[in-house]
Amino acid sequence: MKKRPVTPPPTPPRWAVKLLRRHAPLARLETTEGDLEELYAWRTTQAPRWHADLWYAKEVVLFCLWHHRERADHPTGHGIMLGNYLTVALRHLRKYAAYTFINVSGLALSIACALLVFAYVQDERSYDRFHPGADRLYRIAEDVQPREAAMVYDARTAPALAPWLEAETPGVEAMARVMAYEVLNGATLRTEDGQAFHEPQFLFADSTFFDLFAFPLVAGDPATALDAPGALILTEAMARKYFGTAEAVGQTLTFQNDETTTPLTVTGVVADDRPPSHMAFDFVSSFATLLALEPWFGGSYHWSPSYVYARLAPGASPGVVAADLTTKSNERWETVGAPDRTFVLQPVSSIHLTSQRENEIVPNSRVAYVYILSLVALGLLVIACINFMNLATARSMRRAREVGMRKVLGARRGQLIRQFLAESFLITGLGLVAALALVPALLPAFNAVAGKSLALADLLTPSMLLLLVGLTVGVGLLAGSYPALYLSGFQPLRVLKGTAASAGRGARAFRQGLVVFQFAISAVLLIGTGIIYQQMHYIQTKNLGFAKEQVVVFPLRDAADQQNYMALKADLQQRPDVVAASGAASVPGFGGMYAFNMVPEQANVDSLEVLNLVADPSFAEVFNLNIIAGRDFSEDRPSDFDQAFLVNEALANRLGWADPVGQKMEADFHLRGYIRKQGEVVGMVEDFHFRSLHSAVEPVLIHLVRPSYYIDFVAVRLATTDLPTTLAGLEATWARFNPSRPFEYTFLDSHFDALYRAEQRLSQLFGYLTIVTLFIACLGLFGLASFTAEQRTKEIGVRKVLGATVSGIMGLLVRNVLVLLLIAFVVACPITYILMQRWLQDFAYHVEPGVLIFAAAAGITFAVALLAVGSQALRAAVADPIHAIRHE
Amino acid sequence: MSHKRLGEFEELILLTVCTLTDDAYGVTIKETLHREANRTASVGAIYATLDRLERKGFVESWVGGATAVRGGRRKRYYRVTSSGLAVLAEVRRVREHLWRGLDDLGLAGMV
Repeated sequence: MKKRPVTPPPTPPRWAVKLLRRHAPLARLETTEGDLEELYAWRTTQAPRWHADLWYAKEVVLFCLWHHRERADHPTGHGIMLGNYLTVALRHLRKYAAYTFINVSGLALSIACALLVFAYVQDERSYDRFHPGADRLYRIAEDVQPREAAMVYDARTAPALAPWLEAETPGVEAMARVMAYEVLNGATLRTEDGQAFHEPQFLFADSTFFDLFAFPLVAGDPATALDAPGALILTEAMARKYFGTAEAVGQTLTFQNDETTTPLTVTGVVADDRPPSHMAFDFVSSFATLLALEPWFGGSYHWSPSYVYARLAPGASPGVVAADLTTKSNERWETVGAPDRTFVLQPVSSIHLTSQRENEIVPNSRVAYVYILSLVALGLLVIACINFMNLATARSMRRAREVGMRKVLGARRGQLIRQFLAESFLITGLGLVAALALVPALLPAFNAVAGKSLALADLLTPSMLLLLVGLTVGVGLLAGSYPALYLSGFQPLRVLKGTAASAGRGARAFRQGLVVFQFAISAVLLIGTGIIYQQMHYIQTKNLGFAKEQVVVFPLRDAADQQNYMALKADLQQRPDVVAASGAASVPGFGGMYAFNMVPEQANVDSLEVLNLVADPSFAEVFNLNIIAGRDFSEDRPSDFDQAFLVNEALANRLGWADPVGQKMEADFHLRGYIRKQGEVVGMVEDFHFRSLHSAVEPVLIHLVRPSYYIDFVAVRLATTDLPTTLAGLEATWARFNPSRPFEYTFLDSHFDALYRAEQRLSQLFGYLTIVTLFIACLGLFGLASFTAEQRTKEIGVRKVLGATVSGIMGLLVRNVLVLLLIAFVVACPITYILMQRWLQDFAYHVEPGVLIFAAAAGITFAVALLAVGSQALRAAVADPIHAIRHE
Repeated sequence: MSHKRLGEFEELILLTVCTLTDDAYGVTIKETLHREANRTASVGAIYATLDRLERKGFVESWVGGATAVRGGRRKRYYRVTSSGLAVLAEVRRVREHLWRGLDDLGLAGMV
């Protein structure tokens, strides 16, 4: 037999023993307690104490349940009366159907919304957590301090780090370089039958890629798939696009780069259904392929075009590794004159929510938005709970008599508490069921707004279901506890005599407090939404310093495209529907300007690292830039190409030039080696926003360079009402000069709007949640108002008999609610103001929330609340007093 | 006649009580079930079944004397009644008859 220690006897948790003693039948108590204790003692020798405790508790609960089930055959017992509680609760809910409806629908809506938001939050937080050793996986980013310019926080770093990471840096277990080909002007892929596509999400990665990132492959061996030059991994969706089937291993595609073409062979297919990751890609080719194309690339020190990832050994400190790299880089790169860099190790799992560096693979989300949405969802739940509590306490008077009767007939307080809790759980349970029915209906719309592709299966995970059950029990307890404890404490005699109503005063104050709280939450959301919308409107309509409408942009992807640029431009200019065409190294919203050194003759600095915009004489015309001093470049002055500069206001201010026109300066740029250009400033343009309004306008130097080495984009200003024809014409022109490459174009305005996609999503989600919140809060108010009106029926009748007018009585009923709303607003305004200021700080250019928005929010709330209360008040006020007085 | 039937778990418990002869109480029944049939049942479930068996008249129980262990609490012992033995024998007879049928068909090896 097993070992049964006699001393010292470990005792089971006391609360569990208590539970057993309370619920087990007396005849069975002693023997059962003995059995359980014996087993418990043995268990403590086999497993940790808490394990045994848990087991004991489970056994007690199960025993009580079994015992109870057995008891059902014997209705005479003094058991838990569960069935009876449910029967009574159901009867009650059916009797007051409107009350039940308000509670259940409010709870269902709020639980459904909360569920969706929590699923969203869970999805946002689950990014990159599926890789083995994800807690040790870092991206090496760099902070660069250029001379005389603002710090650059770059997500990427130099590929030349690789040999150090592999051999010389202790604590690094594995590393991989990833390079987004987009920065080298994108990838054009050609099928065997000659079709060409441009693929923006094309990466090159070291063979260790799948060692670090556990993307599931449906075909191919992750260990070797990226070993050879010419190896290509693609997603299932891309395999279907190119080959019509997901079974693509062994198929080939041609990669086109300038004049060279490289055959790529598919060695693996990545599952479309993969856990979320910041690493967005459709194609991954081997790093060896890239090195065959651009051999210099692997050793680049100056340039930081690649994402470098490292998995550290267990216990290694990311801070130490970063410091080690920084020291080494400063030692070695000093000799080549590279700018100061500090390396930073970012946990990969935190990139999606917290990293806002330059050149992210895809723009990341913001953790603040996740917090905001969670808070809103929580607020929604709280409001629905408050409805429940308010209505339940308000109804308590009506039920006081029932309680008194039950007490007289021998009900104990515990039984009454259980009775009320049963009702409470029944309502939350119904709410939960309704919410679960609602979620599938809301899911597609939610996905569209949130930009997610959540499936029902993602939502109804075991942990989520557990959370839901916990939520339901929690809400049931929270919402049911007040009426349960409050009502069950009535003195039966006073209740039956009808004098207990005086006890309602405290409850009324409590209800009013809760209403204020509810509407304060609604007001915060409403004002917040208003400010977000205002800011979004501001962003979309602010004068950006250039005109973004009717501008089509298309990229020149390699030297061949650039060679034909002058001819292409001349041809485009000929078209009647084209106002002007211009090439440039970059266009607003596309980023990617290079910073070079400049040396002004007379200024408050000797030299300055400044963003260069290499353009074309017609640039200002295409973008409608405003020349506020001097003149624009001119095609007719060939010397403009060699000696003229335009500056923006920010640059003039930075250099302390009150009148920049005529200032002499030298500027470096790179054209097969460094070239220094001498010349003078011929004009100043009004500041225009090159990037999103999150960032301030930086100093920019504009000049012209020949040949067209820097022309990476062509921008065309159109004057057309027949867009399809115009686009077809542009495509035909393009095809004449670049027959081998597909014509891809972007409208500048839509591209610019896309920079605010995260904010747009937030504003829409926020807007919908606010509407739901306000609706639920008003639902509660409606219920409360109808109850108040009903309760005061007799008073209203008497007043009317004595000559009160309908409007007088309406005022009487509504006044109180208005005061509560006013208090709620006074509380909400400063809170919202402070919160929203913090959000607005994210934008270098933002609105100042004015009184108007607060007034508008107040107006909406008051109007909706008045509608809810007023309808009930009106009904009570116009009722024939004779019915009222005969009431009771 | 329904009270004369045995559920699968009831049958197991009844057999266990039989094999334990004089030492059948909650803990030993639970342990035997676990050891012999690899069944983990809560004490509550076992007692519920024993109650049912007792109502059907297949087992009888009595409370034993005070014990030195388990906080001096007494044990409730169970013993199979004659009708309990009869119903077990009946169950066995039916099963063996059916198995023999399978043997005759030469199918027993397949099961």
